[in-house]
Amino acid sequence: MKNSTLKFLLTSLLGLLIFQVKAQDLQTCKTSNNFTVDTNPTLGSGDETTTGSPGSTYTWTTSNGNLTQINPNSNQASIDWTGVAVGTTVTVTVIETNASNCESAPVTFTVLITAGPSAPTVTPNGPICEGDDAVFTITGTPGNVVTYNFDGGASQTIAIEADGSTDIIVPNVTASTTINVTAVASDATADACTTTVTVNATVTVNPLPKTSPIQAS
Amino acid sequence: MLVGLYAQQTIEFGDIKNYSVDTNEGGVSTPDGTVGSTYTWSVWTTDATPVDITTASTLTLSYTNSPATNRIQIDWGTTAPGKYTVHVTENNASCIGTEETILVTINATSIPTIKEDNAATCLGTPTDFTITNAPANSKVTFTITGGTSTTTSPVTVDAAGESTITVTPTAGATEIVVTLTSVELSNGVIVPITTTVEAKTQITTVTTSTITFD
Repeated sequence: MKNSTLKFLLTSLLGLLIFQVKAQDLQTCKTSNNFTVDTNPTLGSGDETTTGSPGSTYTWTTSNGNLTQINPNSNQASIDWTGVAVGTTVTVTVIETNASNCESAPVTFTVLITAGPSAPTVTPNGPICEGDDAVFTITGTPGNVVTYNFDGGASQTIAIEADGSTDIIVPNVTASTTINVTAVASDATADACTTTVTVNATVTVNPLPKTSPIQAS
Repeated sequence: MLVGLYAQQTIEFGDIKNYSVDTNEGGVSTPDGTVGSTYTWSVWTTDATPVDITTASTLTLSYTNSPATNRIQIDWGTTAPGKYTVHVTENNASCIGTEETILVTINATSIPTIKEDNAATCLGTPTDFTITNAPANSKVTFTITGGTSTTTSPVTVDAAGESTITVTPTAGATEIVVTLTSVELSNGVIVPITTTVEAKTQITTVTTSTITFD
């Protein structure tokens, strides 16, 4: 066995041990994540820049998901998790090839695919009378942001309050109104985890009786 | 209060009136009152702070289309002259409709006056007393002392609220006094006259001595 081969085996064994004892490096419920290597000189050979080590190319692989290198051979990759089942542990691997055409040992990174926010429940009030307020109480995880519309209209969002619910009030309704909850996000940030949901609830609005003027005789 | 926005009705003191809604649902005569609906009626004053007098002892509200509640009758009884509102709201077991209102004005009863045509009359000479200012076509009850009349009490006044009582003096009396005691309105309600409304005519009696001779 050559020394290089032994070194490789030891390195691999060490990597395997580390892999086995550590938890996953990342838990994600996002639809995609970006990965980079060799951007920090203190973590590598010392010549790293934002685009990796000068002269090096990088080969990324993933055990699951759809991987795209942002630039071919670059130190950055994006993986789309669409279609990857919740609970799947994904191993992301990158191998660096330097200007002398030498390959590094594979660097791995594990990702646990987790579920996004759970669908909220919606409780309507009513039946109510024409002119009353329709109230939809949304119950779910505090901080989640719910996307909804009324009767297929423009989408709006509202955050679930700390007590786990929030009321959406439609004042002075004149006809039965349906809320369609279409998505729930883990928070209000742009890259929040979002779950597409279909939750509908309708407040039934009863018309007011029409009374004739008083006839006197 | 924006009473001018309401339908209006003017009535006399003590009138009995009918009020109804939804008597022609859908343009047909039946059902009389919307099926499944109940109607809540109330009567209010029109003071700055209106008072609900629906159950006051001065009036009586009754339903006239039972079991439907879309028709009522109000016996305004002794409700004082003035302005009142009658309200109704419809409840169809799910929702309450917009309130309907009518303004009812109870005319003040005009208290008649009476005046003697003559300050004095001779015994044996009938004299007239004239009643004025009575409610149109009402009946005025009166009493007479010191005289008699072929006009029996009550006397019916004309549309102008006027009438005449002719009184023949009674021998031995010194004056005729005609006193008005009550007014029976055209609706049959009798309104007592609580103030003194009277007129007097002195009876002049000429006493001639017996004829003497010598």
